[in-house]
Amino acid sequence: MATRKKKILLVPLDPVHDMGLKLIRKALADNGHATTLLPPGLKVHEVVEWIIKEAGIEFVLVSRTLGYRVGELLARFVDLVEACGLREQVTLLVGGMAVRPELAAEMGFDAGFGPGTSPEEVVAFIEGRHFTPWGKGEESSRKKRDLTSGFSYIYKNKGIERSLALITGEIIDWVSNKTSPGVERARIRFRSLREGEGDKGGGWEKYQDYCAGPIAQYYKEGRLPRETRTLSEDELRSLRQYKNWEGQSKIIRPGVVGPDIFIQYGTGCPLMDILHIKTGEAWGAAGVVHFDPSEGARSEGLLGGYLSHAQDGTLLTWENLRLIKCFLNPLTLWQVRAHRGLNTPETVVLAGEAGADLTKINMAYASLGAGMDPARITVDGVEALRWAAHYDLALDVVTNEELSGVPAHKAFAGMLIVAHLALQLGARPILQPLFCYSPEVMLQGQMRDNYIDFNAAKILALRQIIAAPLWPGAPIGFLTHTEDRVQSSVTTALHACLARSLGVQAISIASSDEAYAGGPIAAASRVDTLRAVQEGFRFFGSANIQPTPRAREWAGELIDGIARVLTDVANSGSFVQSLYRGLLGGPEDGAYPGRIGRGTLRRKEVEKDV
Amino acid sequence: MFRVGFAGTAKNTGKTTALMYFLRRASIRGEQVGLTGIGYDGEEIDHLTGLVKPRLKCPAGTLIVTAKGCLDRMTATYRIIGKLPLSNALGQLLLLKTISPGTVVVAGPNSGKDLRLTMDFFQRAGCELVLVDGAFGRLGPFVEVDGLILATGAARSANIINLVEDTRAFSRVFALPALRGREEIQVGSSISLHLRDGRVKRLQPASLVSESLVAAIAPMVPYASVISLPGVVPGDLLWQLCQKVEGGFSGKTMVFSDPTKLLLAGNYERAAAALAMIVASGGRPVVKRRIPLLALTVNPFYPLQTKNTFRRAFINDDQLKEALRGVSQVPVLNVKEREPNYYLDIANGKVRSELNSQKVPGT
Repeated sequence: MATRKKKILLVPLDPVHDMGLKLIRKALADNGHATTLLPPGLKVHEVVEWIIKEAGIEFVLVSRTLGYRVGELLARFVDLVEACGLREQVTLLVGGMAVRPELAAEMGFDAGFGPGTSPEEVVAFIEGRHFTPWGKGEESSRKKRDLTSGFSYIYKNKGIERSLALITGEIIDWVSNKTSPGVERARIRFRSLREGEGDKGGGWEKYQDYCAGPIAQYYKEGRLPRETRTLSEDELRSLRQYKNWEGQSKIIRPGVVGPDIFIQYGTGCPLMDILHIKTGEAWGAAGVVHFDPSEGARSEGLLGGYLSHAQDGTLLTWENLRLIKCFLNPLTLWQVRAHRGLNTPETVVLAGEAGADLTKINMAYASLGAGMDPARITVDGVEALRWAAHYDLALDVVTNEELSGVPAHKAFAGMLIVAHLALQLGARPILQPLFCYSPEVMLQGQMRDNYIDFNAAKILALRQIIAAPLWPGAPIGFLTHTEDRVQSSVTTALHACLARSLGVQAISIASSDEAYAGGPIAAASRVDTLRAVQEGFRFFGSANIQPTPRAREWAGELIDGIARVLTDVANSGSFVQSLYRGLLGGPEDGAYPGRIGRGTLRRKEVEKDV
Repeated sequence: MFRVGFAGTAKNTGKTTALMYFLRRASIRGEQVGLTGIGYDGEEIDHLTGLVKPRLKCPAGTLIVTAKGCLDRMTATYRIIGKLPLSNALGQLLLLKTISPGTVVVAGPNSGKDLRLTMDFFQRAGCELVLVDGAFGRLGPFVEVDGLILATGAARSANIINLVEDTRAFSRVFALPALRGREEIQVGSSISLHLRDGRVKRLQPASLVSESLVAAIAPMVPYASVISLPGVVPGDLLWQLCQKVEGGFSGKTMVFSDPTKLLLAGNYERAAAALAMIVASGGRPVVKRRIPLLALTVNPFYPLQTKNTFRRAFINDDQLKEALRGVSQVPVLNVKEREPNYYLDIANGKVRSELNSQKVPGT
């Protein structure tokens, strides 16, 4: 239905500036509305005279930079309009620096538009439409993005495909008669959540039998581990104010025109996490990643309740996850990572039940970079992949072992094994190569001239192997950041622009203080990098970054290296032994197979259907 | 139902503190109180200065009209009783009843017409006393209340002499007498002059918003017995009119709609001076509708701007209160003082002292 054309008076009460109003006037005129732009600097009663004189004015939009005493002036204007009998006739709007809806309400205006308001937003308000930042009439079509959508997972490199088939077949066969405390806990958790009430019923009483250390102690004695506490009623109640926060914030989504941008949270406290999430959402993040504590990954079992602790990483509990989920924007993609510890399968169950969209699993990295016993994590990892398929959770396969010194081609070989395994088990993998200044390139010099070529080579190589979604991380620019927030933001933005130019599906970014925060990061630093990335995207638009010919050469070398490693693993006849023996990264690369969970595997007694 | 507005001469003059004081008193007395505001109140941090503000605390059982967008910011628990067919910049207005005490955020009707409709809702919900919080120096919607409590203080002017003169002027305008019951003066929706020969001259618009209107009216005044100015009358323009009229206002009645119309443009002193000039020359300024001033509250606090930030500053509390005591016939209260013991007398529409149950001097 066509919108009835409106008559609008534009009033620059500011003594000088009326540029904002000129832009709005153009947008209104483009939509067929009649506007009158008054000269700057009129007195309020002179504006009232104009409204009286110009018959039929329906909207008055006042522009004014706010400061102390200016509020009184604008409030007086509203009073004058009313006292002159014009309030029924006109809708009063105010815009300018420092204007917020609360302040507009306080001054008696019908709506307020703050800095960053687009002219289209004002037009939408005047036309009585709900404004959506991604364009007129597109709100209903805006859905949460599926990063794996449209990917065939067809291999272009058939040699690599054959090796992967051999390796994954062996893995599935090897794990088939094995179980672990982690596997059992995941099944109990699933039954309990489905048949019981969270941590009651559904066979929950057996859960503690599969726990160890401080977690077993918690379930036996009810004592929380050190520096861990339950959130108070008051703290939980205080969250109510953030429930609809995104409604009051300016949601800018660079993800609409480029890769979806993920931020990582894990302050240790779910309340602070929620503030970080809301800040991230308000400044354009399309997705958020739940970071659990590294210590938690080394303990058998997960705690319960609304818990906070004085360490990095937020405790994975059913209640914490549900609480965080409550505050997520419905469009925000939510990843709960499960890739590296003794609770990998159970974490996927919790993530799936709590409504996550994504998880993160990689047995090679967990073994070589996160201290897990290869045998244990292989059994748990396969189980976790089955759960991911069950919940239809897409998963990224991260290659953070590169940061320990494992060369990219070996890390990629491990990633491709896990990705292929995921496909075999019905899950949807996303490849996560690092965009980083890794020990490998420091030693070999691939980034001596620029950061573009080797990162681009990774993307080109993976694309020549398989048609799979790509999500560079994590975060992009790893080891290029310094304690200088400006430098940190710039390097993040440049890596993001490279990722965008390469057409990847998502990126994870750090805050500008993440590498050097020494504790929970600051919200302002979170905003730094989101804004920097947004500016980068704006700067490049649809223009691309052109790598040098070295990128293609390195891509070829990477593919050859990956193929070689996979052949060696396939020929060895055992994925787990390959991890122990260093075929996917060994001591000479700075990678050591871990010991966490060693000796905990048991022969499976009765096959249970999931 | 007794409706009381809490107006301020500026932002940060202590409207909310004054309102909370009388809200608490009414609650102790067991009265059913309704609460709303014509702006936005209850925020933790001042939107403009960044300074911490007093939160609006509310006892259980209070009826509140506020916008939907405020609900998530309150710690008081509540039940939604009704939805009003009104909205403001923060969403639709709702009628709530608090179940447990706590902080509330109030952003209610933003015009006089909407405030009138809101009062109907309070009336139907059984309110005995409705408190309406003001915003900045806004007065317009307060034509819908039965009495006004004016909050003033250093935030209006940190100079005590200026503040006293300003408050005196405000009080004088609010002290204007009403038209006598038997007077049948037709004050329509436009400026009108009732000439001695029986004719009535009408001019559009209703408000005296331009110097050209002043120039048009002034020559006719000597021939008029009644001058009716039903709309806004800025003090400056009324002063100009007084200057231009030859022969003064002897025997003439000048009718204004209500006191707020003379003060909306802000310059209280000029408006009071013009009225004094009319009286001095034998004229009789009156209002069609009186809005009694019930009390003055004083606040020594003001936000002091230093470069780009503000810090809390105060003028001498005792000097301020003492200086303002003589400027008006109504009680002057510092509601932050310990146990000042005043309350709103619903039956008589007054502010009274609880201590001796006697009428406060001057009321």
